[in-house]
Amino acid sequence: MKKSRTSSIASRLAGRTFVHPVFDYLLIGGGASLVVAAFVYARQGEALINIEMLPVFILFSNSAHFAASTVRLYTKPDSFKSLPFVTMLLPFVMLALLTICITWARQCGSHLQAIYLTWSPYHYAAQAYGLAVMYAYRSGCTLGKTDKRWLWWASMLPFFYVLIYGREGGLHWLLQTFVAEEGIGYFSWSPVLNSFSTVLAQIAFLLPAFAFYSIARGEGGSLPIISMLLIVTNGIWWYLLPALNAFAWATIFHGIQYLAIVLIFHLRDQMGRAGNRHGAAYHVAWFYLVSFALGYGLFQCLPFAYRWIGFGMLESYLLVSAAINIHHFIVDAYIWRLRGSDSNRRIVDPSLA
Amino acid sequence: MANAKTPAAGHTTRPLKAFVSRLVFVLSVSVFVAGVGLGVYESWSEERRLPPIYIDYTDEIEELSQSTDYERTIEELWLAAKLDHFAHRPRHFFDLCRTGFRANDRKTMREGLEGLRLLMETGGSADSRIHFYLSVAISLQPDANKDDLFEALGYADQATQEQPDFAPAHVQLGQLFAILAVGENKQVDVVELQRAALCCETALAIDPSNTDAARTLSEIQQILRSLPSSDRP
Repeated sequence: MKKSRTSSIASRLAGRTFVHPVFDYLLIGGGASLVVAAFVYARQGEALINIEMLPVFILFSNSAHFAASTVRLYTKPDSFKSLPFVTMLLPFVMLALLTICITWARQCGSHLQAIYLTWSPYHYAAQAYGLAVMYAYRSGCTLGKTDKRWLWWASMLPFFYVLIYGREGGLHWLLQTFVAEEGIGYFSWSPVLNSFSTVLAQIAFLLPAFAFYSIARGEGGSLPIISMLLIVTNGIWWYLLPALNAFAWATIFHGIQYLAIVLIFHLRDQMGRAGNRHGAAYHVAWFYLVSFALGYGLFQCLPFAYRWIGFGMLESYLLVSAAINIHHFIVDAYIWRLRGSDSNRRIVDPSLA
Repeated sequence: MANAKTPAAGHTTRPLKAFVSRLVFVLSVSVFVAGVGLGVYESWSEERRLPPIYIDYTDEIEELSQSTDYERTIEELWLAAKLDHFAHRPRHFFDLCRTGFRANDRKTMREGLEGLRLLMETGGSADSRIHFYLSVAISLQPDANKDDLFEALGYADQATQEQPDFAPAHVQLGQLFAILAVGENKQVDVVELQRAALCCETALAIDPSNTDAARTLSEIQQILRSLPSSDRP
């Protein structure tokens, strides 16, 4: 009796995973990235792999993940009908914006970069929050308004941290653009703000624990551990890895996390289609290969097209990357919605299927 | 009332809107596909290979920083320093400083140095050579005084410790020891000169083809030979 109660608590805490607890915890929850972070920390920032191999990892994970949101957008059932702007007009808007920014790189380029670098930590935080809520929902944990608010703040703290202290965007960029040219000096004239950074980092790890405790005490049931793991992992990505000059690993694992979850959604949609004649392996391989090829085309080929036109490789490469990021952030804001009759809802909660 | 949409008007605008949307979409996809094709063509025609996995956009800047078209070089380096949020930014400021030196443009030299200082102060650099860059940038300044040179010496020393196999850092350290040993209104400091010689020897042991190290070492030996025999080591 006692044993079955313990196993029921354990399974409730583990939550209802999509594939298998090991898969979900390591790849989607970010457990594997914590192992790598521990290695990086133990070696005090010394490169874990040959530096020449890093672009290969980035291509297979990060570039493919950017393209995956586009592939998902166009393969999601009814997306052309439900998202006409994002599917049909956004690509044109982004191409035009990119061309304008490359043409006037001196005037606009750095702002496009800053927008992307300010938005990026928000995107990471929103992904952690979205996945945490998704797992809670799947695992039968009912989140009230206050619970959601706590979780949201716990997820967003790394974003606020980068917004305040980031050197390439956020407040620094806003100050430099609208207040003073010497925005960078903001760090030196603000010792109070700087001393607050450690406190903010500590709060960012305490708040998820508090949210977990507060939700467990409520009536909606306890939050699965994977939800907490997602939020804590994102914090480690933004606090620890940049300090060890190893942020590239965060981008790689963010890509893996994204690819894993998007593949699950794509697979369920495709397998549920009337007249589907292919197995799971086919759909997974198809989706990944198309994302990989598109990622290569976007990041590796498109900058050369701008060079062919006559622009420098520097602005072509950096601004193409910034535009792809921004396009990905916008697309992501739409394709993960769980409202109304969206097919995502059926996948998150199989009882609706 | 004039603005009110009649059902008939709505009926006509909707297909038109859908048609325009589709047209824009097809246009964007065509431009993208053409862009990818052009990119492959450009890479193949220039480098005889498909676009590489790692695009080294600093190659062009490196090439440009050697040119004598200083105005264009400075403009491009500023753009690079502004846009590049990766680890190469200290290098761009360093190149700015060096180009300013070659062009005898004090303002650019100072701005390059300021950029490097700010990057270091705010911890905004993942480039392990930032101390080397700072050391060279300080010693290139035409108005650098003794205190500045001591500061540059400290950075050069740090650079040799961070990357012991980086020969230019040892040469820089040696040159600074030598300059300070043969300073104005001061007797030649033989011990410091010997240290300078040792740094150059270390650099040559790492990279025997380092001409700066060989030249500095030969100059130091010349100075040592010219000293009165009582002062010689």
